Amino acid sequence: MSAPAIDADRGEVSGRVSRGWRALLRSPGGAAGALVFVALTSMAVLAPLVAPHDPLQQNLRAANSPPFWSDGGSWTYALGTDSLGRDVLSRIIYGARVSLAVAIGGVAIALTLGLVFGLIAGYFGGRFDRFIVSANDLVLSVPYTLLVIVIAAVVGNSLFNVILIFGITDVPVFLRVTRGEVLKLRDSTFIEAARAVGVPRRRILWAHLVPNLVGPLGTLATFEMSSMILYEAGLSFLGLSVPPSTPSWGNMISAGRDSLEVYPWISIAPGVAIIVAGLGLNLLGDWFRDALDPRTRRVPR
Amino acid sequence: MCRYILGRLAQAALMVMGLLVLVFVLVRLSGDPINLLAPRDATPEQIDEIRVAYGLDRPVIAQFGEFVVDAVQLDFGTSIRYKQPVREVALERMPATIELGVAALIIAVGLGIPLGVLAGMRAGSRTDGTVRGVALLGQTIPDFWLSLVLILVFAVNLQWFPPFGRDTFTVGGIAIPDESIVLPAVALALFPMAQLLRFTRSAVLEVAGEDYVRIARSKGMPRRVVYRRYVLKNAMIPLISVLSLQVGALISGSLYIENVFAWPGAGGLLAEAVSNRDIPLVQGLAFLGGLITIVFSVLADVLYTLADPRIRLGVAR
Repeated sequence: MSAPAIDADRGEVSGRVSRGWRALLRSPGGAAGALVFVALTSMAVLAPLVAPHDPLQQNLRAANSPPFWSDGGSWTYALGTDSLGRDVLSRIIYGARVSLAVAIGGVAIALTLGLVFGLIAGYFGGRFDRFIVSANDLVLSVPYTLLVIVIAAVVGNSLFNVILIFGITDVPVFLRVTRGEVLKLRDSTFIEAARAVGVPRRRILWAHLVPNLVGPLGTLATFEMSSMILYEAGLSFLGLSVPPSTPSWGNMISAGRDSLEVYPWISIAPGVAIIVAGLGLNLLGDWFRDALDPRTRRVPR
Repeated sequence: MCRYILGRLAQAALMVMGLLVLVFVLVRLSGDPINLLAPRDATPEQIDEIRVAYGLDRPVIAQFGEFVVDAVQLDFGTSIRYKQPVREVALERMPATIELGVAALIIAVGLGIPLGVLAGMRAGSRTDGTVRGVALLGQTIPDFWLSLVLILVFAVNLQWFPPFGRDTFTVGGIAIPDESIVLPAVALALFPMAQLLRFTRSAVLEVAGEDYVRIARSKGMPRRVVYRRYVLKNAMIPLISVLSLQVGALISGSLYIENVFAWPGAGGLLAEAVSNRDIPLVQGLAFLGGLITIVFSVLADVLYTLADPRIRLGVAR
């Protein structure tokens, strides 16, 4: 492998990015994933404009109305209403806010901390590295749901706490990947060259190592966002995430449980939202990984 | 190899110690654990009483020491809800969870591995695409939501299975669950099945790209024979550790599945203890869950050394 220029040529990077966009739109999976992500984000941001109803407004006279395609359903409440007559579609749209806030906030925290500790542990090694790795292995050895549920039960539920819980418990995953990549890169020729010409350590870390981590960490971040949406829904389902009054997909599934046999749409609809969001992010992540790793370009792994 | 196993055991002991620290610290995350243990309407005198009863008036180090000594004997105090020792309440629910976990694992292995092999052998084909789609769905469908859908379709509409509970029939004095185990086992199997499938597929793909496989093929050995003799055998070795990882997934899943299906196991008990803020019970069950995961990961590592001659004979080390 030939050593790239010591300073990444900015023009080349931006060229690569625009080529990346075109490739993304050409790949059906990647394009579908990107579409879902954009739709999800706009839904969350523009919720007050997009939602046909106030998600909290109750209308007991229209309670448990079925969705438009079944008998007695109407377009007024396209996906039906719940037991308090709240519009299911509007609640799903607002629920995207919780899911996305947790996914983006959680990943941002985990990525930042994992990157910093992973860089330090991987690049400098030594006692700190050994300590970090064993602490990491310990947390990773505990079943994740178990860990998150116990913490959530103890610290109580608010959106902020939930974001913090997911952000911190997910650090080990990012740390492990960062450390592994750094170990691989640390002894490569271009880093050695940079060290040999006297590039300061901090600059080696931020200008040479970190740009090479964008690919693997970006891919991981996409997958982790999808898992966090799933785990947040799980916490909500057990009543351990945001308060029941806040519309969230897990809360909605849980609220429809008791009337599942008669009014199934209350639980089923938000589950479909979770699956679509998860599929989209996974497809996007798959595309990232394949696009960034030339070895897997031909046969998807 | 003996030395390796001993080293692994020592490492596991350290992990268990770390797990104890984790469980101890987690319960104190909220600040004063007395807030979790005392009822909301407790008077200051009652709070002091509870504080002394749980030893919370003593220094943290002493509390931790006592916690470790008790935990080694699986003594986690008395459940607030059940007014019985946590150990008894928890162990009583274990058999049902193990039963469900084994049933789910059989489904997950029975579907995940053959489908993974099939997809790996025909990488890039339409079969491969379909199988990968199944795996992707398996990893994105929330298991608790799938449980509700299964109940709706197979219990409420088709009435093939009961919607919840565990019914048994007795053979030679042993109670064996009847068809009531099918729906929860399928829901619980979903996620491990998807993971096993993905893993098997990429393991097969990876081994199929090895030099010895290419040589066997270039000698003119039929594809089927190459796969049976070289690829599958070698791809199955790393499966041991992936299988042991599924224990964690099963424990996590059992929390939700047992809750939805009212299956009388330890997972549902933990979900219930969490909503009741029954902290001693939460602590005990969380420790048990972590302990089981660690035991299985050690077991997997030992089996791995036995299965892979490169490790067994110390070539790779």
